Amino acid sequence: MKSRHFGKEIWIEFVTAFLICTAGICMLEGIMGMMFFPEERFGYEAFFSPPLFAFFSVGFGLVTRSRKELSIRQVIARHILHLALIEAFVFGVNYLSGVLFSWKIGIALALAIAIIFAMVYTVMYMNDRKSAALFNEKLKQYQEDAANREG
Amino acid sequence: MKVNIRRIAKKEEEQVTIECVEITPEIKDIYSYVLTKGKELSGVENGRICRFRLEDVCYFEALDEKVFAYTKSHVYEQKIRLYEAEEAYREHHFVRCSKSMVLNLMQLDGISPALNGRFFAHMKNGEKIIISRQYVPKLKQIVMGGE
Repeated sequence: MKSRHFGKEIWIEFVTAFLICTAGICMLEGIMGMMFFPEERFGYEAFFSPPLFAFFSVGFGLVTRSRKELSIRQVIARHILHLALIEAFVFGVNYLSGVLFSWKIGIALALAIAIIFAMVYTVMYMNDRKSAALFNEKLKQYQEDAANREG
Repeated sequence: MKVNIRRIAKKEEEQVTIECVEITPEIKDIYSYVLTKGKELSGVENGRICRFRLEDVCYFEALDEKVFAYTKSHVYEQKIRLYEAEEAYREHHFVRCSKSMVLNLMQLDGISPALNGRFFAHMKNGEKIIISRQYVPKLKQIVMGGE
């Protein structure tokens, strides 16, 4: 039964991914800026870039969803597509805003995006593991209670 | 032993009362039989009609317009739709875990995370089945309540 709880879970998942992603992008911009553009200075508008990139990156996650039950292979393929869309988006925005950088910086950026991508999914996976452990604990209690009730 | 049958109007008030001097093994047998009677199912395995207990079913699965009941070592074809099994056996701890499966919470050993917000259900018969992400909240609600 699909319920309103499912909708709530989707939002919690979206917000969690968005916050982790924003934090990751802040660190990425800081580290890459210090490494490759130490002399550059920005205005306050620069603060909006991490949440904006995070919002679109998490939004592209829609490609991992489906009404059908996906096989593990399909899930992996969709995650690869998700990462490709994020990479294309980040490089596209940089290109359209006239930011030009060397191959070296390009490769570092692509790798950093992949690391943040992996980081978001790792944190979400750890969160699922925690929730599975709590579920398993409660399941034993549920089974004991039910067995006692039903003699 | 005297046996009385008294007709009543309401189905939900149906009950069996055993009046005895002491609880002997025979009385215990009758008690167990009554308890399991309503929960006994029949299904087809290798062309033979077999009877089995609902509580032994790990999960029901819909495959090619047919529904199968899986116990530890047997698979029985059922003459029931999956949604009917879900509704009929809800009280017996059966819950939908994907579009094609209804699992028995009493036969569930535990869950572990899978990719994409899904979970694996590790059944007591050693099988591992998928819990789709849209059914996870309902499952958690049943087992964990409001947590």
